[in-house]
Amino acid sequence: MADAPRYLGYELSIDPQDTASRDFFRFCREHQLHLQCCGSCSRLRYPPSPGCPFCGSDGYTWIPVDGSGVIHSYTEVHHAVSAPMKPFVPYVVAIVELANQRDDPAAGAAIRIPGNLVTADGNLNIGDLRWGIDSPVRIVFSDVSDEIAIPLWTPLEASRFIS
Amino acid sequence: MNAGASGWVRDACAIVGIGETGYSKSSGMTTRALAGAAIRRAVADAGMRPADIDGLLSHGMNDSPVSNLVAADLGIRPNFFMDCVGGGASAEALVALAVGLIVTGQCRTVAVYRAMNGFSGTRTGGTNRNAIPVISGQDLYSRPFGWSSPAQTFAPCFMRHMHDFGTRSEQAAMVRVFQSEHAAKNPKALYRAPVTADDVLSSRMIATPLHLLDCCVETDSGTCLIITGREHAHDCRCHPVMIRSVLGRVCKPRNDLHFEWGPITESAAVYAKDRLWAQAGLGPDDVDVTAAYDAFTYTSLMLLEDYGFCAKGEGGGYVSDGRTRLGGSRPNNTSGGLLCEGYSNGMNLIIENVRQLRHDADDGCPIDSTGRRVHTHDHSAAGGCRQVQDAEVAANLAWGNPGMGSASVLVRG
Repeated sequence: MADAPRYLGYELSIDPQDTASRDFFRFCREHQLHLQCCGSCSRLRYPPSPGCPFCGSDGYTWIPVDGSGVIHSYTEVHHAVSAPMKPFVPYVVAIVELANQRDDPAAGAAIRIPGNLVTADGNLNIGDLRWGIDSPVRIVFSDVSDEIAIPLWTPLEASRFIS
Repeated sequence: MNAGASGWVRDACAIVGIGETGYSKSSGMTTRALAGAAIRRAVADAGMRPADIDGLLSHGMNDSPVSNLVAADLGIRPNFFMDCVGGGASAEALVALAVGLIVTGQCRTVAVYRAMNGFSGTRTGGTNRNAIPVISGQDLYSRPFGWSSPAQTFAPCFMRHMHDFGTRSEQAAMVRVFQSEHAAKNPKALYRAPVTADDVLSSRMIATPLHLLDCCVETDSGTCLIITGREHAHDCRCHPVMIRSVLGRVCKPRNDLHFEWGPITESAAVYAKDRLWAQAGLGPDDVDVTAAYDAFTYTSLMLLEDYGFCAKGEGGGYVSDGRTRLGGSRPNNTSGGLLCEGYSNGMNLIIENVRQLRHDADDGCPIDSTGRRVHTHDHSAAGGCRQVQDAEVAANLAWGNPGMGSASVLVRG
């Protein structure tokens, strides 16, 4: 048995019965964003769940989704409550909104994926990168194990600057 | 079921007893002992004996004793006991269950309680005993980002509120400022020193836009409400407070990470509002005093908007222009609330509104020869009175997270 996967000092554990999480993080490990697509109403959803919040159906397939969006909101954390994050303060958690399915099925609804705002190479210290609400971002992945990568977000202009 | 008042039993039950152990950072007691102490006090306040209680309802986050143990400590053999999982927005949920138990004849009198060593034991923010960082299940989608405490996870709602409506931190800070004035008139309050808006804004940043003083502090406390049927309410020791309306728990259509279902500047209250007021047969304009859940300054602000006390987006003005201060047109959190009196997952907010509707706030006003407190209604710092004059209707607006809430309307019996 391999060591438990660790990320920033956190031990990650995917329950063998949690097939939706297993699949989601495997796609992340392939550096692809896949979301569940409802077999009945065809809407996407996040985070993974066994039933569709829009129609109640339990059938779904995974489909690839463009990993770009805009920062809908965020918080910059100065007080880390858990020990693994204390070396990284201040760090940013962004709520990233995808263009797919905006205002569907109701005004204000959208696919929103929280994650740290990082440099293009995954560093939580984003220094003086310029960003804010409505800034465009793209997804990047931080590899944890053969089975898991963590999805993170980086400002688009910053990624161009670094590459 | 459509939202509406159909079938609701208005004023069928009353809150007839309240009990508190006090609010501290170190109770020096187990939560089981805290629970027993709070229930004993509430039973005595109602003029009852423990054996008069035949139902116990409690909530917790795996940090509290199950109520059948507590029942035995009091010599109670309940006909119904239940312990539910949850923090904020649970108190009203249990009040709603108590009403159901009583009107269906399953219980005669129910104790609703919460016992927590919120500071010295289990911290809501995930430190202390909950700090072991093994992440699984739904937490895989939040905790790896260092995103776990209520301040961290709720803050994006407030940031977007500032962005969309121009709400300013200076406005939110006034929630703390006014409540610190209220707490100065409350001998039980944990934080009794008045603070200024500058104090709030210059306190260290926790998670933008929340400064330290925008946040409440989890507190050690035991709290209890005694609820019985209308037909018994006037036999009790104190003036009864009727449960005019209650919405136990309401959530947004999706609630996993709070942000799936927008607008994220709205809380689940928007799904509770119409039913709450229809059940009550009252509206915001009828309310004399509010207790809008103030785990954070901004939660109070958003809830007051979402229940219709002001238009959406105008909460910043509502909480900062003086209306919500003692002496204002509709004071909010007159005990000092969760920010200043102490944090009990909202139980103390209900207890305070019961006191207000009894016209018996436990402030510094003089007590006459019959033992009755004579309120001066002088809300100045020197006056020290925190009783809202002629309070008849109170609203409790509770928050579990941005996607979950509960509420009640209480009236003087």
